[in-house]
Amino acid sequence: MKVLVLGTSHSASVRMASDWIKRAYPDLEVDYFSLPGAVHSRSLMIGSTFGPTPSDTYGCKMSQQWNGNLMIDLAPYAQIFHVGERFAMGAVTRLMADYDILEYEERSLRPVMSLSAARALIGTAVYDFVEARHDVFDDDPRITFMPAPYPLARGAKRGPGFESTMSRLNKRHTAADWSQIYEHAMGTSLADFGYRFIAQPNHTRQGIFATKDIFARPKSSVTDVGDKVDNRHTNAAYGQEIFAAYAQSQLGLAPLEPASAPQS
Amino acid sequence: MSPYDSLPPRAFWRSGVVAEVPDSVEPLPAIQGLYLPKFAITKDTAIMTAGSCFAQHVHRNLHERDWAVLDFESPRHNFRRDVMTRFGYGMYSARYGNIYTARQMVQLLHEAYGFETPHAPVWQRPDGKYVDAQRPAIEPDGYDTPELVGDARAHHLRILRKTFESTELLVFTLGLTETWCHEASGTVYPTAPGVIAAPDQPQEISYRNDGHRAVMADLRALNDFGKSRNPHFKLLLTVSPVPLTATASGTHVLPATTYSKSVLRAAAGEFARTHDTVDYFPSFEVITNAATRGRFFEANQRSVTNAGVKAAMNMFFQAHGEEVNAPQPRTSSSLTGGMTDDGDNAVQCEEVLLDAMNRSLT
Repeated sequence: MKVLVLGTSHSASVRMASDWIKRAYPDLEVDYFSLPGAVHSRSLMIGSTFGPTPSDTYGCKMSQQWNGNLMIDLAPYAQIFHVGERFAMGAVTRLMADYDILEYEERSLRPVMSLSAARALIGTAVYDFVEARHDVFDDDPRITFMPAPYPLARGAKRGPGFESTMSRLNKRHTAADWSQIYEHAMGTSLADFGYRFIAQPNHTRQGIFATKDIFARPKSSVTDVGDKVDNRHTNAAYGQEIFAAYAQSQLGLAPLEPASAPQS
Repeated sequence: MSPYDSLPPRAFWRSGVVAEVPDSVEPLPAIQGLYLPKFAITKDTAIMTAGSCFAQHVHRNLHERDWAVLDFESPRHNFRRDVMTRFGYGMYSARYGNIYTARQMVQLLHEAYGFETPHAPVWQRPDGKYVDAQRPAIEPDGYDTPELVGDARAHHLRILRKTFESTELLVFTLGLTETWCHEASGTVYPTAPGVIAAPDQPQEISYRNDGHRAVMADLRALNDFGKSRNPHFKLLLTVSPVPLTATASGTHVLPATTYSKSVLRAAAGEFARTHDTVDYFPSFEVITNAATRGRFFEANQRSVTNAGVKAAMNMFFQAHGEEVNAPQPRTSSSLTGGMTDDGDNAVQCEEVLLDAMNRSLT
């Protein structure tokens, strides 16, 4: 079966796991096509091919550099694993960090918002995001979306790469409730357009809104790179975990070789 | 030599109105000299907006031009405007919904500071859900219990106090003279019992139509209260040009509208004339003047068109030194239904994929 891993820079972790995927899923023929998030979001389908428009000089350069091609023809693929979209994550997580829910017990000095309003605001934000993706990919039941991973748990530490919103959100007693609202919105919105959805696997998370540090890119911490710390992107071990989750849930396939231990 | 001989063109109907609004020109231009501000308002003035529904336009225009309009209660990101509005967010400087009368505004501030406790604060809808009687439309799904109404209101009032303490200028749009009142306590309500919901004893709520004296007293109370919290407090009054949807006065809705707007306009004018820190912004005149021939109203003859709002707000911004044709600094993604998202660091995105490429090539 031909499978395409398509997505933003977050799909790189799966690409990094390509050798393991070949061994673990010998019946699958997996290809990869990745673009930086901003380029990915403005790229288009022309017929059955996807990629940056010819006028997008930077996007074409990146695509050539990253993929060895300007575009990818989606027609030959039986399934498409779409990795790394953010689903209005910035706006939604800030909302979740900034408000108490009226119907929940937790109270801080934050303003309160009814569950009904929270669901409506988050739901429509995610729906609009998905609708915009549908404008590009149209009806395509082959596509399964997995969002960008939450930032690494180490991002809760003040300093370079500090993830203020996620840090605040993770400390909340209501984090699990918020997560349920957000992920329910992603699942239902995608289903409305005929797509499938997988949430970030729980075993890759630290708490609710963070990814375990063992999935950090190699040499991306403060001690390695100073101010250029990267708490957003993940390593090949993470790629193995999410591909395994995809293969199990969507293709009914278990890996023939266990995932390798993460190396950070 | 008559007293009129030395007056500027704006003092005469032909030159001040007819010549300023040519019949065939679209869009209709704003009339020059209509608004001569008594005091300066800048982009940095901390502005609180409240009032009848036309005040929403004022709030939104100030927000979109990145003026310092206060709003501590709405989500900071631009969620979809229609959803925000449905839940009372982003309409005014706090989530109090429409405040049609100066009495209601005074009552709200007094309640926020503990000087007044409105009677029957929770009303019930026919479907069994509860609403906040003072802002019955801000939760379209209603509340499950009266306690939730009280909890939400307590938090709202806390935000309102913070807002009012930060306010340098209150822009208040007077909308109605007709109101619904609990006579024994004097509590007023924005809607009549039965329109959205009703209190336990609806017969205790009766119709009231305020006159000039009552509106003047409420404006005085509003201004005095503002000054008591902040000696530099200023008030900018407007009168909503939107006609009454309905009247309970027993008269035809047209004279009822004229009465209501006349009282409000006269009170606003007199109050502004007699207070140095109170001004009147003539958006009512921009929209309703005869020379526009009703072109600033939508087909329902009630809602103000976008062009009308623009003409009024351009007059405001021009009078306060803002270039009205300059690109607006705040691009509201909610206008287009899209969401802004700061996303990931672009440089890191590039690096990570190059890493992946190197890995898969080796």
